[in-house]
Amino acid sequence: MVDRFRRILRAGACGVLASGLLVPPPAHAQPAAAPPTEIPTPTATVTATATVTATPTATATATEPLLPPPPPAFPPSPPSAPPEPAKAAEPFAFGDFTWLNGNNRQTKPILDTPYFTPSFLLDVNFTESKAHPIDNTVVGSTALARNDEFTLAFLGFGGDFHAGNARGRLMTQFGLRSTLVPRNDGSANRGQFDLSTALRYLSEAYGGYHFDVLNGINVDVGIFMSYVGLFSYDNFENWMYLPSFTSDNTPWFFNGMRIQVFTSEHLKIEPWIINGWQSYGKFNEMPGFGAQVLYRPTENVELLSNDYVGWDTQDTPGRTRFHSDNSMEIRYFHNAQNHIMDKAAFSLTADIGGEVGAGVTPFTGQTNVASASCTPQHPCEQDFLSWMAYNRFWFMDGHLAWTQGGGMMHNPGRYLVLAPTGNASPSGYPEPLGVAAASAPFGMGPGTTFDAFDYATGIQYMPDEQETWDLEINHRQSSVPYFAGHGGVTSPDGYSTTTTPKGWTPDLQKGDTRIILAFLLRF
Amino acid sequence: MKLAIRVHRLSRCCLSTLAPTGVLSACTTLLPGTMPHNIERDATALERNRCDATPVDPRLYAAATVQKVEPYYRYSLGGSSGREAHFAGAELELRPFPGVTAELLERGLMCRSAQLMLGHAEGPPDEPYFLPHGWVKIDVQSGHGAFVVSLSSEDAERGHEVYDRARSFAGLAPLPQ
Repeated sequence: MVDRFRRILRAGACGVLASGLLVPPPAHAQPAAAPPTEIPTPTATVTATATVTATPTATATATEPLLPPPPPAFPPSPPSAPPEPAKAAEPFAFGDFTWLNGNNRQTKPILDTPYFTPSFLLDVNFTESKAHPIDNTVVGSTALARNDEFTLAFLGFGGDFHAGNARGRLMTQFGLRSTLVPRNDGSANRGQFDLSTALRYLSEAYGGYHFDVLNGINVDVGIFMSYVGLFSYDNFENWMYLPSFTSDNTPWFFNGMRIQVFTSEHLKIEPWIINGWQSYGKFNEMPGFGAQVLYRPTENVELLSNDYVGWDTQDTPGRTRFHSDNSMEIRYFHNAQNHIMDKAAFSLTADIGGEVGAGVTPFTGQTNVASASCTPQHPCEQDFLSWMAYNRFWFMDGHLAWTQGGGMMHNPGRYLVLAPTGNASPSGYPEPLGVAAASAPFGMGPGTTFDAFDYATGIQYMPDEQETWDLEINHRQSSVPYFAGHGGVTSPDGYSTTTTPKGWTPDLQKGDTRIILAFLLRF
Repeated sequence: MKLAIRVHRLSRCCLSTLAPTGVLSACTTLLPGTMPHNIERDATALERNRCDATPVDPRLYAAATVQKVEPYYRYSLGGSSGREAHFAGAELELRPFPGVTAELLERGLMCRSAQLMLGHAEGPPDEPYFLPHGWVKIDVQSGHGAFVVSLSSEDAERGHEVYDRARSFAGLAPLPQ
């Protein structure tokens, strides 16, 4: 990587500035031992055609040649070049992985510079729910927030800083996601200085160092993206705009340290030491620990595992959370010569997790009881089992894609359920619009149950590497009233400034069917 | 009567097969950005715009001018590692000539590439400035006493092909896979 930056410096517009002043001569520079020998005599190389008519001799006499008159023969043999030690290959560069769900499909940055690679992300959606909630509010998603309106979901700009082995990433975050995602983090309520406000406009902010060991080791500290649940936080990288529960209900970011170890060009092992499960701060005394293992044996296969253990329940240091997220993606058809349908692939993700201690236990225990009944002697079931699967076909040289998929989720204890908002907010959830205490808070504690499934289909039109037009239809179904019905979750007329009369309750339904249109732009 | 039924069935079968294909073909033709890369057309345009009456000096693209060959990567941000490297081709370090600028070298190599693609010139079979069935993008920059020529193709597979040809052209042994 250092060599790459040196090469860029050596070759780029900043080369003059850098020469002799900022950048030392490359360590691998060719030794000057090989004297500039006389160029071997080439043979005639340009055949006479209608386009290229002048012979070398005629040209040399008719015009001032660019160089001294060329000799008329090919080099008789290639020059002898000194052997170079083979450098470690860049990880995962042996193949084309732009087809992956949760991976950028772009192959080159269009705004690259030697020290900074800028990035700009725009995500605008319009979604229409069959229920037409009067408060235009979406419940149960981190991708969607508002119904029946054009919504700026995400606007971010920033980029990658790189100089030598130092590296950094800044990506800002504006739009609905700057309130939609931080509201799920209760750790910000611990102590002072308003962590949510301080950090909500940053989706990624880290700095680090690259070591030229193995195929590269990166140590980064700060806020970085989580790929638990396969899908990317940046919807531009995803096959579908609205992911299934397995992805939507698992973390989008971590705050802490990650160490990316590329042991070969096929394998990455990435341990984390983080504050918690998608949390700006820590809930208890211990940090969270995790790791990602990413293996791409061939261009057509990816295996991804994210594993976590932490202590993420307020005032409950004795409750341990564990989670294992495992995905497989296979491109089972690829024919670049077929311009009608050139690729087909599927992704399969399965998660297993649970919490243990302080009155809860995974996979066994009580359900459908009051939280007070969950005791160490009679613990309640608290776990997370889910799966999701997607299949995608690419048409017209990859410019059009059709995806089908869905998944299921089983989460007794509801510790990973996305909390409803407004007057259905669970106790203790901060409400950015200043809504008073919820009139009918959604129960989130031990003893509760939650099962859900979803299915969806959609098409994406990608005229170039920078933009995606998305159209999809999605249905979600839950075992308890959860999604926003026509009455909404805010007030009788849908406005948060209207006083909620006594006895008014939010309209929660078990089903949600919607159509989604989105435009995504990435530079 | 039976024949009529058969013809009817056959026509239905053909229509059901051909209609979607036709729609997709029409879309491929009409939608912006969806046309497949036409190498012959683009090479013809390149030859027209980059080749002069003066032939390209053979020394510019001779193997003897190549001092070093390295892989050429492109980097995109995103993905679970923060950024992804894409094998794009080869980066050649060329010995400079008196009076030759990066623009002139790039122009000369582009002309050479177009002529090789169109069969209007002959060269060694491993010459990396063209691919038999692919497009090679040429970018030349100067600095630190040499020209750096980036030869990139459309995907990783062809990028490897360009890199292997470049190493062979420069007299380097192919790297083990």
